[in-house]
Amino acid sequence: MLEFKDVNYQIRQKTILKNINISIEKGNIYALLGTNGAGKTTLIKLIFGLLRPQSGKILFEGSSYVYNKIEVLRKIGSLIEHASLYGHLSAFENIEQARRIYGTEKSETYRLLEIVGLKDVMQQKTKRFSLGMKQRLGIALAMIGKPKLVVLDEPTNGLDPQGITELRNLILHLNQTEGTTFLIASHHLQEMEKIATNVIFIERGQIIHQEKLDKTLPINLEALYNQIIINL
Amino acid sequence: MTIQTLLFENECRKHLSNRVYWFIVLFPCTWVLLAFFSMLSMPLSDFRQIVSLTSGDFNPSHFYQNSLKTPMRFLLTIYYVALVIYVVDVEHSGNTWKYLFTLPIKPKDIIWAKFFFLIVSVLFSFVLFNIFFIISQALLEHYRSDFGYERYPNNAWIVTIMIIKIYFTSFFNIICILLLTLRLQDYGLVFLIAILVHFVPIPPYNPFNLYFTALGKQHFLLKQQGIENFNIIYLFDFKELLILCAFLIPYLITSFYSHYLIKS
Repeated sequence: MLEFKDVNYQIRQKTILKNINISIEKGNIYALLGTNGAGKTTLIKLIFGLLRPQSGKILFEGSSYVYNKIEVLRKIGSLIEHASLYGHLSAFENIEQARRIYGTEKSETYRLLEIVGLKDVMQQKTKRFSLGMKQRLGIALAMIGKPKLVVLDEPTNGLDPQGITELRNLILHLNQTEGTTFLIASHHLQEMEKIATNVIFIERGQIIHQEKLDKTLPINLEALYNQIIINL
Repeated sequence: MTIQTLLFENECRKHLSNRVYWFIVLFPCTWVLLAFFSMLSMPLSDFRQIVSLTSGDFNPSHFYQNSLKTPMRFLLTIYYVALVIYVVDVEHSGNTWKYLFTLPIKPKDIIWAKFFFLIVSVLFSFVLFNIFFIISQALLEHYRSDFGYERYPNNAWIVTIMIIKIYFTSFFNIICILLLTLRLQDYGLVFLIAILVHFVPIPPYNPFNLYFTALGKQHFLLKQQGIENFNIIYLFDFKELLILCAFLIPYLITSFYSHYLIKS
């Protein structure tokens, strides 16, 4: 679905990402794990075409970003850190803003609000929402264009345990029912081992390890991470 | 429907339901109310004294119109800065810039939609300003007949044309302020620059600088209208100027210091 082929990115001679090779397959949940400053956000910015790599290729379903960025972005949803919401607008109006751009049916707004459990409060202004509610609405916003891939950057930041559980269940639900592929950038290893089917470890701008997790076995990402760091 | 139209529609839906937007759009009209009520409550002796000290033109319509049009450019600068900062800040405060740029639209379309919305807002506030002005002029003629309105011609259309020119020649300012706001992302500094640019239109202007060119054009138009000293001090009496400074100076100092404190 999404491929990074020998992607390099640098700012003023300083290498931020080096020889990135990733292949995101359809229907999986990928955890992009790394410490702060490892290059996760830069990688996400490259996915959305906000930055352009100096060398290498980024392909979505086989086609390059350079020629049809708009068409590619139509198939990718995003939630970058905290949900992007207009506080003075209601939950419904916030989703409608994005729906009009994607040109989807109005019923899609109601359907997504139902899925994220906010249909009862959809007329309330989002400034009155809790952080957990805002993040769920952010997921609905990311899903409005019926994307094939949803990219989440640190979605659990600042959430309480209940909010984290709600968000986790929502991601799993969307992955199973809608078949949406998720790429979640995070540094919360314990949380990611509960939902991820694949992990990608990134450190100092380089992919140091990637593997498909065997969900039938107990997973300890922290131990795996420590082992990789020792072997480096 | 094109993407530009959709984005413009989104802008309208986003802002028209916000009270802050209405507060800013109605800001130029508050000046009409202020001038109207001060004119309404002004004793006849004070009116004669101020007129003889300033222009010597005893036409009460001219006095009222001048008290509106003279500070107009300065007020519009504040208005434009407030409007642009509001439109940009709505996206910053909700973290929505990031989301907007990940949508399947070109970034330049987002900026153009904002710019068109700003232009429409300016036109809208201009219409409101004129409605307020015409009504207040009629009310003054009715309630302050002691000023001698019947003896002098009321050239309200002249001031309307003047306000149109000031409004429209200031469109350059909007572009400059919008670009400054997007570039600097420091509202205090943008406000500071806009105000400084307002106070520094001393000839000769630099023709390569768009901002100064816009101001130069205004100056030229005003000269054609016979106004030599288009300055804030022109018709303000000392007390009003002091009040204005009392509001502005602390703001400018705070902006200046906050900018350098944040930078350091």
